[in-house]
Amino acid sequence: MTGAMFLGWRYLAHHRFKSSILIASITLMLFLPAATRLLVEDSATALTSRADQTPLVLGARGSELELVLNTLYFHAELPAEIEYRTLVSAQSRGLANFIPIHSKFQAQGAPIVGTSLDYFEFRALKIASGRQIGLLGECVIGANVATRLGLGPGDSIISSPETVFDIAGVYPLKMTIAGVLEATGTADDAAVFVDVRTSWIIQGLGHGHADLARPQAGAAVLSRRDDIVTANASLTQYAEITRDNISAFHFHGSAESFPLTSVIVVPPDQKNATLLRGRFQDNELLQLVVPGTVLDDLLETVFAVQNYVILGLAILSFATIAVITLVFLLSQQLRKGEFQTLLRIGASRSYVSVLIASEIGFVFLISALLAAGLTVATRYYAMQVLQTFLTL
Amino acid sequence: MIFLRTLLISVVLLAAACGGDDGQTSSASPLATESKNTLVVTSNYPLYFFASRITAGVSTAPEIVFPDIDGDPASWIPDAEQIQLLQSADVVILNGAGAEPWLDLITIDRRRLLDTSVGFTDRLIPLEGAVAHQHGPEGEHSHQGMAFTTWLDPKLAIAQAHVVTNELIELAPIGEKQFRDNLAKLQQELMELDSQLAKAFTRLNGEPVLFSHPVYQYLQRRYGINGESVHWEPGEEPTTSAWIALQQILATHPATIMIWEDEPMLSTAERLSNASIAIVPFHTAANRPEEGDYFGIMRDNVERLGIGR
Repeated sequence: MTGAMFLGWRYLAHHRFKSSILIASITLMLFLPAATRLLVEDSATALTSRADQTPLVLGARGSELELVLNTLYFHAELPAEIEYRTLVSAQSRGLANFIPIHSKFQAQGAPIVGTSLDYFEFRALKIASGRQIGLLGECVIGANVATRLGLGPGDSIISSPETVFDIAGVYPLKMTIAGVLEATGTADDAAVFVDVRTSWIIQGLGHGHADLARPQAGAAVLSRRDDIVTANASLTQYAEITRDNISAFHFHGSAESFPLTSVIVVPPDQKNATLLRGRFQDNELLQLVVPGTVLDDLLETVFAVQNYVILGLAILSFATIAVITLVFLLSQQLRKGEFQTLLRIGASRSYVSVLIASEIGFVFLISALLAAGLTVATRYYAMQVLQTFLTL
Repeated sequence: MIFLRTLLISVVLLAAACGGDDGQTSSASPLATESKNTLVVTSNYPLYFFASRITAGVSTAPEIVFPDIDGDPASWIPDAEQIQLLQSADVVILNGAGAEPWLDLITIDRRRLLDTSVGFTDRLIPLEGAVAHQHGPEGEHSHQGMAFTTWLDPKLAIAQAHVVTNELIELAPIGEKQFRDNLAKLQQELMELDSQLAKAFTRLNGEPVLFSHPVYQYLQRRYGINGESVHWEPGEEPTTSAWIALQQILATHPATIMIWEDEPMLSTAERLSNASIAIVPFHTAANRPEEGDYFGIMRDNVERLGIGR
């Protein structure tokens, strides 16, 4: 029987083109439904697990999905901003811990997340090397950012200008990397974390420049009138915060009027969560959402689409099987003479049957192996693909 | 057999790919915290001194730490190690009134900050002469603040000590009685200092006084000192314009005493002496002294006020 299998294998090897088409068709027939299911299920698990770890998100009224995706995955689609005073006011009521999120800018392809130290405790993020952010202008980077850009503690990363054509706009800020976070397999791995005030500096709400009251600033002074000094355009603003110039950094206006994209709300218990949700229920400017619920709505749609896709793939698979069956049957007809010759030279009928079965078996086995390999690869890269998709 | 084995492997691979673990690690409770020793960091020496006196002899009291600061704590920019100390503290006791401008420069959990002057904001003194500036579309703005050497008024110092005590009681309730007893003793000593300072300044009898630096506002208000302030540094030679400005002040404010944060340069002292102005160093004790303690410094200040006469 081994000889029959050998002949079957040699037949397939000889007719490479025909065999390849058959294998490719069956591989895709097996792989596509499995990959679709895997992607959807893994995405659903990843989405819901991060959402479930985030009790409540406070933000401006508008798209709940944009608010949740920006807060959880630092998605580039920005929700409407709220003022920092919203956090201060809510915090003063003491029903929960409120963590600011200002995720608006990018640095070399990674989202910059302005937040507080509470965020690291809340997400259980640990420093793998270096230390926590300390001074303004410092950042800690996620594990993927460190690997992708080859950066570590002591290196620098520059924020991307908001718009290339806005020459009067915000200057990029060169940030010192204080530390690198341990990998968590979440969106945090792909982000650059700064103090929320550093993100306000990136936005241009704070800056550093030479002291205009000092005589050394003479060339940059347009006029001095009573207690008011007006500077001209030659006044250089610092593009990097160092220990030497940090004292010159200041903010214009009250911090309470500065923007946040959202606030993560962490109530100590369900009672406080319910009280908070009640308080914001009728608010016309703000919304307090449960990320899990928002993503469940999204996932319901995704699962519905998945079912349609799988149904379509099942119909295609049925057609593929029919065509493959036809190919094998026609092939048997064309090779009738070949089989007769085998019988005449002494091969038994079972020998010929094994030969035919082994050809079909090899095609299905190779296809199954390829489909399995592709599925494993899909599973491996699925989360990375998902993270990329979510931050776009 | 080889083919059967291959078939089995493929089946196992398929099963592994399609089912099983979802690859997500279970996360620990995000709000879980580890137990640690209580650590209190103060932002200036007087607060460190008060907190140390209040916790003296209490074994369960928090550890009180005042970081090594080079120069004036109000101009301090913490280094990485000091920031880590501040971030790890259970409470950071602040003077408030703008004495900690570094707070705007570092990342710290704001809920762990204790502002000891928040209870008397109505008694804080605004700084004079802030310069506004404008550049860009934001328009005019200034960086005006408050006078922050609140502890130079012993009454305010007592109020700050009370705030410190309440916080310490919250951190270590078991030591409450001893904290309160220690506070009573500290309060008594601050009251004595108050009467000594009052006595020393009463002798001035409204005579004009100069301050070398605008840091004596609370002292001036508490003891009704007829003072005018310039902005000179003990370690720097005053500029010609600074001497001219002094002459202009002296024209309307004929002071014969100039109170300094520290001994001025010899040349400055000689020139002031020629103008019949006596120099009286009055240390604010904002930073840790090389020798002695807070009351020792204040006693020396009082003594020097007598010599200055």
